[in-house]
Amino acid sequence: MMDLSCYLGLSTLLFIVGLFGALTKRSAVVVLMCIELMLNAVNINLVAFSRFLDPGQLLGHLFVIFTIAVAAAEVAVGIALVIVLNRYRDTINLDDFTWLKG
Amino acid sequence: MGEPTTGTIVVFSVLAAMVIGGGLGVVLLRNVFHALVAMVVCFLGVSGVYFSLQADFLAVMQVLIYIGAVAVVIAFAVMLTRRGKMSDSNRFVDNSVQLVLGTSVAGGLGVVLLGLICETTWQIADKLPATDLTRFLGEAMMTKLPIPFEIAAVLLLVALVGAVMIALEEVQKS
Repeated sequence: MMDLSCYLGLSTLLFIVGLFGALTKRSAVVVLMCIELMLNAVNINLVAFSRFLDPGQLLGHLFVIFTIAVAAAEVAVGIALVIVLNRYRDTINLDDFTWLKG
Repeated sequence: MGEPTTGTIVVFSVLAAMVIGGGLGVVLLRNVFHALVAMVVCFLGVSGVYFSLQADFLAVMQVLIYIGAVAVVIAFAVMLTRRGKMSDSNRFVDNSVQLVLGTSVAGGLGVVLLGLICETTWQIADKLPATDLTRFLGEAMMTKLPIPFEIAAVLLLVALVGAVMIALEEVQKS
């Protein structure tokens, strides 16, 4: 069995890779993919804490199930928005969406 | 917990390489479809990590939902929205200030988190996890947490109906 710190370090690395991508990519679809990476990093954390700190209760697993459900809902709505934005503006470059700018 | 054997170290290294390599592939590959495949590799690695943490139900759910549903939906989004050359479709922003800021925010957060992880001593419990995991989770969902379970169901329904309505807007107008 590996240490808890190994799992936490792995999920931290995945999280910062996802965060870096979400902050610096120009395509809305890729930003959604990076957000999925960050959610996965959080899920690894929850499962690792559940396994090492509280193995009898498994509350972390229940959290992960709800996170996965919310992530699936989020990706469905996000993709629908991207498709509609693409229809109106003919682009998915996030810098081109400036409707709210005065 | 005991010292990790060579086998577990090798397995963990392979899984970590899949997870981190897949994540880096999503960010660094130039073709957005290659990035999608890298994301699938990353999700498979995460599923393996769940197996190594004895969370078998979650590992199977990970493959079913993330690779079976999320990756396919994103593939459709790529195909429906793509313009121009595929080989240069996954680009960074042109604004160099945003690049520097993004890199420093992500790097700074990583340094802080890794430092905190090394500093902290965790109270590792010495129990073994429940063996009948799926049954345990199902019973907990139905007895201890019925309200969150129902709310998650309603949320999924509302989100999916909402997604269909958003995407159908144009058809209703014309």
